[in-house]
Amino acid sequence: MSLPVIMAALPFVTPWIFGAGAMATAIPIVIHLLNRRRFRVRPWAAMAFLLAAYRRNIRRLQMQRWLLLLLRCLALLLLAAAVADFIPPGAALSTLVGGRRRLTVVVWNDAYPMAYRPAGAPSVFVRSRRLLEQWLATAGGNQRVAILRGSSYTAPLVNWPTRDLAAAGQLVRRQRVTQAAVNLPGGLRSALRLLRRARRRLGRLRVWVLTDCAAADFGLAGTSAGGRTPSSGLIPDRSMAWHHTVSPAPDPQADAKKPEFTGRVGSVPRRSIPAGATVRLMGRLIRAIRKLGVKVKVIDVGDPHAATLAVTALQTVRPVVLTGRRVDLRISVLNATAAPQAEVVVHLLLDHVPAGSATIPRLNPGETVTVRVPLDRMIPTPGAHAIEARLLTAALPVAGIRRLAVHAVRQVRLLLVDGQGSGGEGIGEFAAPVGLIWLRAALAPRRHGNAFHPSLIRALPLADVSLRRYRGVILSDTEAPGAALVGRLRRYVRSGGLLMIFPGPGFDSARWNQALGVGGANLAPALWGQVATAAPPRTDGQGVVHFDLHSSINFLTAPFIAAAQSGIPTGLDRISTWRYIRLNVLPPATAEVLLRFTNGWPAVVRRWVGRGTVIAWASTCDTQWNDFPVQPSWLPMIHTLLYHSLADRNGGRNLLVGSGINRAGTSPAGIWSGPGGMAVPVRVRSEAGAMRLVSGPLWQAGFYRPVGSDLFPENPQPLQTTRITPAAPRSGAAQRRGAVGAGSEDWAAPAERGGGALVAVNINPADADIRHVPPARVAEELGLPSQDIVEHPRTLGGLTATGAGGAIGYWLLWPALLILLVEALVARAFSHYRYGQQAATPGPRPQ
Amino acid sequence: MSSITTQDYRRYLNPRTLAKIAALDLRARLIVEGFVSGMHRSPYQGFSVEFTQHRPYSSGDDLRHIDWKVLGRTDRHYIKQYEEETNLQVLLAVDASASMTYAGQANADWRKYDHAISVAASLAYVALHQRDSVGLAIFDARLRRLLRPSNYPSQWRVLIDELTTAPGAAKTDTGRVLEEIAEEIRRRSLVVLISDLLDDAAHIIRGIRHLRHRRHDLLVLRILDHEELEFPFHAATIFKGLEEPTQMLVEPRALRDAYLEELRHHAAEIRTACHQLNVDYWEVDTSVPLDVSLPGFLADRTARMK
Repeated sequence: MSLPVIMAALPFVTPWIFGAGAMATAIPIVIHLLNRRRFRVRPWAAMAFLLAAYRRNIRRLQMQRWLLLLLRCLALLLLAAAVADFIPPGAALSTLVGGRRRLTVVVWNDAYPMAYRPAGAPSVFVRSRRLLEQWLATAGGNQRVAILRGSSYTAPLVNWPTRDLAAAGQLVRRQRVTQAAVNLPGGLRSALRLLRRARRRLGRLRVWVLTDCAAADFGLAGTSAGGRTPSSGLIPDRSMAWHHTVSPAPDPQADAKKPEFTGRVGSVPRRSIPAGATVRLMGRLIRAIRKLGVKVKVIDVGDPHAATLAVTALQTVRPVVLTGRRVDLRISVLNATAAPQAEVVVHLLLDHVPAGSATIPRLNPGETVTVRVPLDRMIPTPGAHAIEARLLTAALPVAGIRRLAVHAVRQVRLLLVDGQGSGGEGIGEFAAPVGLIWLRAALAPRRHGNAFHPSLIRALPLADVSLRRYRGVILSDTEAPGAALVGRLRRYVRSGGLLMIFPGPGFDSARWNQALGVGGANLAPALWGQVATAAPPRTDGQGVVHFDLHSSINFLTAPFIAAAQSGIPTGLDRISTWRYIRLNVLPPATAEVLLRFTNGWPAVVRRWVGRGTVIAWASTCDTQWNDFPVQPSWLPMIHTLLYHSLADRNGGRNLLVGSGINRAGTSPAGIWSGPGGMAVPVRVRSEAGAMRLVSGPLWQAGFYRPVGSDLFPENPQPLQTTRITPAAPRSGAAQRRGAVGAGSEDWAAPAERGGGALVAVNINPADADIRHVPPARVAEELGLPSQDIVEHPRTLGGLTATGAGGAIGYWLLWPALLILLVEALVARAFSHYRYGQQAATPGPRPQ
Repeated sequence: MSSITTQDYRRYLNPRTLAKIAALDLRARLIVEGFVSGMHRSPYQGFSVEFTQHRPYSSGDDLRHIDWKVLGRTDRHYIKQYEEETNLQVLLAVDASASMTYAGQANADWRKYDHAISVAASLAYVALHQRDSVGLAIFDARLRRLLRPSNYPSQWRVLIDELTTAPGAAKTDTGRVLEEIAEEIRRRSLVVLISDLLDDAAHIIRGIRHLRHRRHDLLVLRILDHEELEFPFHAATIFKGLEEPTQMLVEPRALRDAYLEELRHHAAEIRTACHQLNVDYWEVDTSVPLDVSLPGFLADRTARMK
């Protein structure tokens, strides 16, 4: 066996040090031998006494000599073992020697950024797992360990201190990197809670944060090389785990790129929190932990050159996806690298079939660019459909793909209710409401192929109509609803319905305020006041008032409105209103004025209630009080307003990893199939009187659908190996359907499929910034000494002066020093020599 | 025999020592015999200065010694007796064996034998000063030299000349030498034994007992070097015997206690025997100057005689 092999077999963290120390044990022997050679020769008179003393004590002297030699060698050997960090073969010895019990709490980041794999090396997560495995295998018997996740993944690892390090090691060995979001504050908070409970029973405590030190871990902007400095923002997802997003600094020219709508489909409700909150929270938690006398070390296992591109958002531009119409998507791409990226191509797939691509000409470091891209193919059938955006150049594959589940409909059903309209076909309640003719004409201008499908009724049957069938209910000059209808409307709006109210001659403001005001259903965006006739001071001399576009809120960004605001004639500025109801707007936090009249009174007020919207108009939707319905701008205005205000019903279909299915309905319950054929049980649960489909948290990104559904199949190929190359359609039928063939994959899935249920689960894009943060900055931000940031350790054993968690080198120092003390005492006791008792007086010197 | 110079005398006779011991007498603790009247008690009682007792008159007694005062008071005849004082014969028995040549590290040129000469010279000076006779016996394994006691003033120089003769390299046999001395001297004398007594204790005691049997007053002065008394060595040392042909490698610190125990045991044995035989025993450390040790010894002895 070679020397390195032998040394590696020695149970020491640093066997070479022990080897050197073991050789040092020869020092006392050499000194002893040298002393025996370096004697003095002295004539002696009282030799008889010396001989007698020697004969009587020869055994004792020999024993003392060997004992001292043994003690000296043993002390040196123990010192060598202590410095080399001895690892006892069994727990018993550690227990015997180790003294006080120790607890190491490891906050282990197993979120998806840890899956980053540098070229030719294992992933960051695998490296961290090896470190943990190695340390657990060598930890001593007195070492207790708790391993907490630094991600939002909720499955427990070792949440309570255990001495069974072998079992913990096996558990660690089985771990795979999750697709959960980073949640180091959560791990630290759990560690703090655990330490407070365990502090009384365990002596030495320490916390290791094992992470890749990516910018997203701490909510910090990573290393930005040139370009614009990214600004940070921290937002929580639905599970209230804190995440971080990076967005570019405000660009003066970015307004030109602004989309018409803020994203609705596929977006996740978030609440913005101040920048740097994550790192501040971590700092507070670390300070609290350190106040307990616990040492905290951040172990950086990340790659200093970690970088990737990531698709951070995929949304439809409009809240509703209509079959047979073009679908516009908004795609956001983050450049989490240190260098500008040019010609970044994002591939789009509809139902796993290539459906176009978008090219971003330039991406600066740390910059997120949002582009609007139309799908090449139209959605042919109503029902569930899957849309994907893929970046084939993403170094972190899981961040290079984003999924979107949409529910396509042929038309948006709206219910139009006319209260006081007269004339029309039919008798009584069945007479056609003429007051809504203009509105119906705007919503359904064509005989076929309209985006909206308005259903017109009189006010009377409203109490019996099922509102759930309609995305919106528009009331025109109706009487104030009764208590029962108010309750239904309230539930309808809160569940995502749109309620639009037009006044009319028969409109009773007081009763409406009583029904929908604060004392009633609390749905009203404004309190309705008296009917006003347009009059000075701001009339144009014709007794009318116009819309004041410049003082209206800049919420509508459709080209039509934008053009009007830019001074391009759209007709909006020529609309005359000669009668209206004065709307007293509620506080701005709950309602917003979309349009104002030139005399300052609100013309259109909107309020979000629950998941739905309530819009109050100040004037009628016919030509009794204004001429808007007869103007060309009437139709685009109504369409824009509806697209902007309709609730997104696809929100429950697009989740982040860690969220569970929770949507209204009772079917299809049972087993759903996830990515890789994963089975997910989905059950029906009653919530507040409504039946809902619910499941546990979904921890894998991908599409989930009921087993046996007639939906398109999941792409079986791994993401990173997918190669999309445009090719000719396989058949004429497919060509007629618009399907595009592709490479070696079977992209010929029938595009007509659809319907059924579909849920898309995506990773949290907030953690996509995997750029490495320098340790000095981490230390500064967390308020830790720089030596507590450990960069890329080869082993966890040498992290502290007290040696490895399992090694008992620190404890061997004490017996070694004790033996040295004993040796000194024994040597002194054996010699019985008193150095201070020598006679200082010399012999007589006669003068 | 080496020639003795004036410098040599001064080497062994310290004026400061002499000044301190001059006022002290070297008295015999026991009754000794002498030819001339002196300061020491004689075994012969006569009619001198020091009254001792009365005894009844018997025919033939000199009438001059009848105590008339007693006769007047008691009407009985008593004779007054007086103690006769005599001079002292001092025999200085000096050990000149090889072990006496040992000198410590601190004073490598001051051997135990030199210290013994110094003691002998001082005592001889005192004795001659009080008109006592001083003799000398130099011995090792046997009696090498014996000078009969004399109180001539030149006796001191003769003694020094004899003492400065280099000691022999022979072993000590103190017991046999003491027996030999006991046989040699006829009159009861004060024998001063100056030796390191590194010999078998039983033999030494037997010699002392023999001397005492001959009614000699005996004074034992044991001369030891400070290193022999303390054994203050650190490093490993090979000790080579001055009288024995052996040598031994010793870790001094480890053996010190045992050695000192042996030494104490030997000294205690001799001291006990001396005490039982009414012999004065005194240990002299060569590191202690004579003007400190010798006056102390003489004062102590004088005090005990009173």
